[in-house]
Amino acid sequence: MIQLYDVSKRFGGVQALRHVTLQIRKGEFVLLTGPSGAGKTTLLRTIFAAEKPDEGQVILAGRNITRLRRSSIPYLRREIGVVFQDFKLLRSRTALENVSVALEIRGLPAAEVYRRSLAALEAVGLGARARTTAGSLSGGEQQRVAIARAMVGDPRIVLADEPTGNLDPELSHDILDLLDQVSRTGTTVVVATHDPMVLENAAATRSILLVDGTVAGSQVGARGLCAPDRPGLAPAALFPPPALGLEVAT
Amino acid sequence: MLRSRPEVLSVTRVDPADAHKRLAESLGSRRGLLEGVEPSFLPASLELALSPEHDARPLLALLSASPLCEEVDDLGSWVKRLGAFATVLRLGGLLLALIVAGACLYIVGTTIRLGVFARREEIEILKLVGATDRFVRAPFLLEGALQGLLGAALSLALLFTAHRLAAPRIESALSVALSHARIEFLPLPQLALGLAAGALLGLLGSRIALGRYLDV
Repeated sequence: MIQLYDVSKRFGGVQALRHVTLQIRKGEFVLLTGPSGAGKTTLLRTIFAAEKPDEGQVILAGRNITRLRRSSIPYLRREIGVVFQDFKLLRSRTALENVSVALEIRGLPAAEVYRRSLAALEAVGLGARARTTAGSLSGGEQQRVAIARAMVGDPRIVLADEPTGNLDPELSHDILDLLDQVSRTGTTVVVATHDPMVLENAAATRSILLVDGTVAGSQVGARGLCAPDRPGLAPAALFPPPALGLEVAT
Repeated sequence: MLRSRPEVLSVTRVDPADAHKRLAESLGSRRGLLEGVEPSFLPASLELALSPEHDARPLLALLSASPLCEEVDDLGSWVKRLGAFATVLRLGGLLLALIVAGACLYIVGTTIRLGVFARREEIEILKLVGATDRFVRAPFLLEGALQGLLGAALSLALLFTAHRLAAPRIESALSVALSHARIEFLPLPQLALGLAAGALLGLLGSRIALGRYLDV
């Protein structure tokens, strides 16, 4: 589903990504972790074509997006739901309007936009708050609106950048549960995080450690810690030393 | 003799009575000035219409040297001067129109740029969730076109008011020279063209203003 080959990205004097090569299969729930400045956000932004790599190739569902024409990028982004660290909500618009935006840009009929947006908000437990402006919602509620917006278009991939960054543990659990539910629908989920609570509790199928813009290690599962109902995933110590190298999924 | 010359198209004799009548007509409401003036006061004259294909100068020289002619007026030279003046006016108008168009682009562009700047976050979000440039651009282009259209309509309304106030005075002041010609306001097709040009300039200004804000 997602393949990165030898991807490098530099911002001025900072090398954000160095020769990153990894593959994420369809339906996987992957945690992308590492310290601040490791390149997690840049990696996510590269996947939804918000950053163009200086070197290497990014292939999504068999399409090389580094060669994509500018005019094709919006259509690629419609296949990817993104939950931003700072939510990126229109604060003066209602929760419903924020979710609707993702469908309005596709030119869908107003009635369908309304029906699907409301359903998405209900799915994240915010049906009753649909008419509340985003600026009046709590951090957790805003995050859930962002998830509803990411999901409303039935994307094939969901990317979440530090989705629990500003939330208390209880709300963080709720958000992780939501992402797990999304993953169980067959959607590929990639979550960038350095929140220990997420690392311990997320029902991820795999964890990838980034350090200084390079893949320093990869760990199958972590899901076993909290999702024993998923076969084939055994608990394991997170992040073996970099010397173990990269596990490439096929 | 004059009619036989190739450069002469027609010869019209204007006797003093005809000349008096013409003068009275050109004075319009002020024809009273001619009260007490005998028609014979004005000289008889011959009006020659000359072919533009021939050089009129030899004939003018011949007539000027003739003892039968008291005075020769070459209106052609006046027409040429008027033509040159009209060309200068036209070029000046064109230059002025270009300057106004540039100013219009700048003003609309700046206004839209402020609007875009105020909504840059919204634009970024729209782009990140998959909005095409066309989707993001459309409201701004519409706003620019509307601004241009309203600006053009306002300008034309002001021009119309100025015309209503100034035209009668200019017509009256230049009644002799203009032979009572009226200074008409712009015809409908030109008004429509002005409005369309305003909308187009507004559209163009906002298109330029959007520029890099779409690069998300």
